[in-house]
Amino acid sequence: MLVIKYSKTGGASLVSHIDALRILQRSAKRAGFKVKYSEGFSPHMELSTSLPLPLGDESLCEYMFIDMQSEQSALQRLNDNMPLGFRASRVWQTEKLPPVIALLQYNDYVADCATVNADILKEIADGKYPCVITKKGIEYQTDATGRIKRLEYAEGKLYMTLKAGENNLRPDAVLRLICDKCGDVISSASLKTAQYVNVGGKTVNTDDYLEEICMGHNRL
Amino acid sequence: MTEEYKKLLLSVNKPSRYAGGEFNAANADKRADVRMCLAFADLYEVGMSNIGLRILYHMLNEQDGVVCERCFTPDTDMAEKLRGSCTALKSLESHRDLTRFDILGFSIGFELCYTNILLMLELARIPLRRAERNDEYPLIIAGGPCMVNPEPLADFFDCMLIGDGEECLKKLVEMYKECKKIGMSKEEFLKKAADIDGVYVPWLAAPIYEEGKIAAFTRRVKRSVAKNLDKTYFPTEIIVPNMEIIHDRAVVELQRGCSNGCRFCQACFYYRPMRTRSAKTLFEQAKDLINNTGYDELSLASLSTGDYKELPCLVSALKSDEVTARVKLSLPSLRLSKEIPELSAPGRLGSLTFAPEAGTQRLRDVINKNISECEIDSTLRGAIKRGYKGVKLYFMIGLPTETDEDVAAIADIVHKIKRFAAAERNKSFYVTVSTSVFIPKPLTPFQWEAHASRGDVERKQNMLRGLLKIKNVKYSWHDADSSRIETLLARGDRSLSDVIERAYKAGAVMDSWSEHFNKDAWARAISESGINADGLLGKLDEGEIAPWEIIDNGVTKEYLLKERGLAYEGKTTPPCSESCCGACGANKLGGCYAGN
Repeated sequence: MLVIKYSKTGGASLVSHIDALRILQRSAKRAGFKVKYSEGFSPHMELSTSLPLPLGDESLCEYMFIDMQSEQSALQRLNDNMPLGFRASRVWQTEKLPPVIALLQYNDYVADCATVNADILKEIADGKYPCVITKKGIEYQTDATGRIKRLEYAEGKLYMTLKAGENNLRPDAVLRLICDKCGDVISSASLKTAQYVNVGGKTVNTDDYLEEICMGHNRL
Repeated sequence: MTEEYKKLLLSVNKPSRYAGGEFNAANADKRADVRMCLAFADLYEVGMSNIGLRILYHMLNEQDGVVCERCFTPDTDMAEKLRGSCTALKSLESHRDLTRFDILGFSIGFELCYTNILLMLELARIPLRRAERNDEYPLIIAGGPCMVNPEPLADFFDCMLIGDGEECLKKLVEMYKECKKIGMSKEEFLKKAADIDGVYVPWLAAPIYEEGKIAAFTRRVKRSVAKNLDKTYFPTEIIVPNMEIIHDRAVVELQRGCSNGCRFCQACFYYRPMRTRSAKTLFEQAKDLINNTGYDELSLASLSTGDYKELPCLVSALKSDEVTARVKLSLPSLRLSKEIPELSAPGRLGSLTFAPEAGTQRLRDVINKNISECEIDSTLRGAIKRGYKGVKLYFMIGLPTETDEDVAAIADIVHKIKRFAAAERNKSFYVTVSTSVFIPKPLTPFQWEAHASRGDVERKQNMLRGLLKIKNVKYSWHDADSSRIETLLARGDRSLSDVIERAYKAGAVMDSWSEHFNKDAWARAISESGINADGLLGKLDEGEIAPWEIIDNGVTKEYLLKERGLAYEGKTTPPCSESCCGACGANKLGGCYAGN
């Protein structure tokens, strides 16, 4: 199993998750990767990704899982065959599919923000105000308590660490709340910069976790 | 992409239609002497499936000093947003306003897309009519299959390219590059460009009218033809779209032209002379395409793929090669009379598509669809036996000499198929029947025929709806009103430019999408413009000069008239072949089977 970390930025952020999956599969094919196929009437490539990124959001830390042996200069070959905005940065070889989705705990995000009221920002971080989320065109209020781990402003940027996976909080809901209450957010969407997993009660950067579990295997 | 443009795209459906950045898309940052934008008068997913656009885009980008970008008709939600903002319609590659290109070239494949051209021009902040545009605006040109009769669009374009773009567009862009260097005016350039085969400059060659009818042409335009298809440019490093498109697969073009001579079919006569690619060339192209795109489906495209002589050899080569063996092959335009090649692995059989076009043998003979009842039976029986799950059948309604018996016979064919299926114990075998309305298109033996009246079409459709209420049979039909507009736009002259503009201004756009077709806008435009719509929809006089005769298409009027005569006698014409020439006249444009 190869785990490849990749980014999805710029115009690629406008590509939906299902389209992105197809793009990654075609890129792997063009790169000449010898990927395993499922067995059955309609064989499909054994390639999956970390949780879907909302349309419009950019990310520097997406992961794809490809059922294949390690191959020479895999990263380079993949990058030569991916469309604009997709770029692979690291690769790990693991024995089996690492449970990074099941263990996912937090995501880091950053967004451009012109002005912000520091006191109200702190209240938002403490979960004093509910966030509004939209599902199928209907707006719901949701309690943000305990789901915002970090909310900081520095030099025109907002840094957020939000609950991911189960009971997650979407960054656009927080940005909307900041817009309403105390600031002038410029970004139309946010940039995801890191994912964290919960390993035995400890919060660990997914990169470090993957590094840990592939110890003993051939380093790529 | 600016933050503002991204915000706009995030507010519309399917933003990746407008974002660009696909694999193999051109690098627009490159220095360029000529910047061209290919505009397609339909949505991204339709335009990106178009093989002509693919060929020309990559051909231009390989041309020295040329950068070519793309733009498609925005969907209604995006059009609304653009109208309500100060943002103009932009290209996909560099998100440049369309006014910032040297040449804006529209590819037009369907008459019901004409209003989309005006929508795109308006959203690009470009005046619609040529007469209203000065040298500040790009050169606005058109090409594509609709150039069979360019006259209805004459007032909108600076020039129009008739025939194969691989030849005339390349020459035009090359000439533009030279003329731009010396600062030549648009008018001077167009006068010079008019000498290129296939370049039609409508304001330079206006037909001479007498008493409202065309009396003569000042000059005729010879259609441009790529004589040797095997040596004609074909791209293998093609754009792979980021979203799913209508025909999301690799395509090779087996042949251009069709030898069957079905009398209703415009493509058959327009794309003559018949040219083919060798199986060797196609095999190499197919392999490169699959390697360069990652597609898992390959279409062997042509107007009649079953007639491609080297088909068995090509299919077996593709199936035995390591790269192409896993690829699913799709063969559009198979004829019922031909054996269906063994294409899919067992267990992957889906449905087959055939176009008998008419229900009875008599009517099939009239339209020269050279297939017999017996061939239909044996092919369909074979398909059912082999385990296909269903069949899609295409027919036409409103054909010349058609009677109610001919229409009812469509249902007889369906009943027969169901009986074959029952005999094979395949009760779930499904049949999809689709009827379109016959459009008397220019450059066919039926170009003078009347368009069936609305009442007649609807009556026959209703009759079939009743007759086809059978289990596992689905019936769909084309709208009678939009078909009438299609005939008007196909056969009209310059006065139609006014109708198109009025219809657009009254709200007609995306007319080819039934949910958007605006019947009232067209009715208003027709009545306000004062054109004789009933005359254009009725039988045309063989003695009159038709607007599309301004194009020398190779196929002669005498040949079309002869074929029309044979149609009324119910006599068929055999398909042309290397040894048997029907003398249609297309040979003079380069020779059928040249280069083989």
